[in-house]
Amino acid sequence: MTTTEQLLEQALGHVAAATQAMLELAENDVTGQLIFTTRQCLDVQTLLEDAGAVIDIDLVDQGGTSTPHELLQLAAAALDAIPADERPVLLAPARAELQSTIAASSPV
Amino acid sequence: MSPATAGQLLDDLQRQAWDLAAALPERRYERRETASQTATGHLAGWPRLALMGLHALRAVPLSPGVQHHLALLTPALERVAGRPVKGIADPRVARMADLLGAVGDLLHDEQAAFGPDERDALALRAKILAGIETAGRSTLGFLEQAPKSVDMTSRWRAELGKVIDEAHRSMRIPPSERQGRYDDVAAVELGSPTLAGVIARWKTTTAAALTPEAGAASSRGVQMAAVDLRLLALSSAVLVRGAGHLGVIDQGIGTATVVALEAASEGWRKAAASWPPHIRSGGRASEDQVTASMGLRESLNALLRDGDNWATPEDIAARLTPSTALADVRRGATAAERLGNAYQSCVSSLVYSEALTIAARAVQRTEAAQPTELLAAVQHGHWVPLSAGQPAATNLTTAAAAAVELTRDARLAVDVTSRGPAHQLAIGETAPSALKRVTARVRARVAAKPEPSIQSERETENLPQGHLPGFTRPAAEIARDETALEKLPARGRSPAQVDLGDLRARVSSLTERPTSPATLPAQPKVQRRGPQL
Repeated sequence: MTTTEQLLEQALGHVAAATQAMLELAENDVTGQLIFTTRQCLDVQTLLEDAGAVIDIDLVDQGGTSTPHELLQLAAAALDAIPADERPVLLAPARAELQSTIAASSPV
Repeated sequence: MSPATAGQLLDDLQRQAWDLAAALPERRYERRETASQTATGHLAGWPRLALMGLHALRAVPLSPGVQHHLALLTPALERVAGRPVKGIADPRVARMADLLGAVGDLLHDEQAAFGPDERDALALRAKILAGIETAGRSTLGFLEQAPKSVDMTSRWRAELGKVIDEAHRSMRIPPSERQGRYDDVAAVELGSPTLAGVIARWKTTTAAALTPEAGAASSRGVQMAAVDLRLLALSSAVLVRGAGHLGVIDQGIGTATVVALEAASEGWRKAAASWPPHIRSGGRASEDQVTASMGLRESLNALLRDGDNWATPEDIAARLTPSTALADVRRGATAAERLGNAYQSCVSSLVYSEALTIAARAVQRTEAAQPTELLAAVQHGHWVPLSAGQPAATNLTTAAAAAVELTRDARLAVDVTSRGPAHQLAIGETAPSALKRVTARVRARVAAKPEPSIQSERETENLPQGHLPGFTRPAAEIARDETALEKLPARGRSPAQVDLGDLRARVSSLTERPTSPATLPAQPKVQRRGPQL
């Protein structure tokens, strides 16, 4: 069974991987959107750490060929898997910011 | 509302000075009628005007070597300042003193100007001197008609005469060329909702986050600073491109500036990407930095974005006046340059004090044998200090240095947009420096063999007509007389374009990216918003 700590770790790992992927992709981004979204990703990471998440770099490396948008969705899924009664109080702002970032990163 | 700038204050100074001159009646008998009263008012205002003039002149960010031009003016002003006169100061003279005091205060924090910045500092000084000189001439005009009782010993006339002569001699930059980067210097209110205010607040908090006690910075905060610097450079490029498109600035200057800003932006992207998740230090970024950074992002989003794309120049112009936007861009570029330096020092400090940690698993083998402690750390998923010799550490410092270099180039390019119409010769630049610069450029051009069109464009840049590389005649002239360059007919290209030529080559050589033509933002799309939880 996956614990709350592990799910938080997973979420943070996926967001960190998405951030790195966005920074790589931003080189060819003429719309400028990716840099705004990257900056949001950093906020999500900070908020997740505030909620008690600790990074697991093994999870970051598992990003593989996923797009940043997919990675952010995986992070959201990990957070959703945390039972409602076990969610840290500080997780709410992180989830909200993550959802906003997912919306901003969605492919047209 | 944009903040009052040094340029605006100096424009007002000149207006006041011309009003003083305009108040001088043309006919002698008319002058005589009002001379006694007016001259007394002028003289009552002069000691403070001289004092504030000194304050402003000393605040002009010129190196001591260049300030020596004022070696005779300074004591002349000091003598005037030291001769209080009873009476009520003329309101215009008093206003001029206030303006000079404010200009001096604004310039107080500027760093000494070198290279191309020196020209701008000289232009700024010329504006101050012009105001003082015009006021002096007006006062003298009245004094000449005033009875001896006003000008008791004629020493006033003598002292003011020296001030006027020396001010005139020291100006060196013709009136049409007195625009430059220092015109934008302003006391921006940190809480102001304008872009200038948002940038000022972001600059202050980010600088604080990048300059904590050695080795105490948060890696998250440092990476955030790099992302913000990219965001600012990219947004500035959009604003400058828009200004070029709308004809607010010369399109050629605009294009070159955009190239430089995009290169800087790319440098900051690489700097941000040099912070992988397996390297960290400190805790979370400071709350102040996060808030200010968010404010910057929101402000740029509101002013420049249309959904997921950049807004069109016309749309942006409707939200932010292009001239205000350009001043904000220039102030932003100055802030970025300073923050870039702080960023580089911060990264160096973190790397060389070995304050960063790395996930043991990510440590790259640089020696044949792996220490047992490291193997144990890998097994247990621990973090270990990042050695300065590790590739990840080197990558951090290299990316920071490159970004800083490109940011300086971008700032120099952005400054050119402040200079208005094309200038003629690089007046204000010392002759040996101009020669050295031109020679170096010619040599670089020959070595680099650039495209023919650029080659022909640059062939005669900044050189007097008829003197191509090898120019022994002007060189000899300049060697004889430091001011020879100023005396030569103004026939060369503007220093602005000259600098950009250099910059363009430098930027492309650093980034190895082709210079793309300026493109306008794509059509706006509908903005999506994330679900509200």
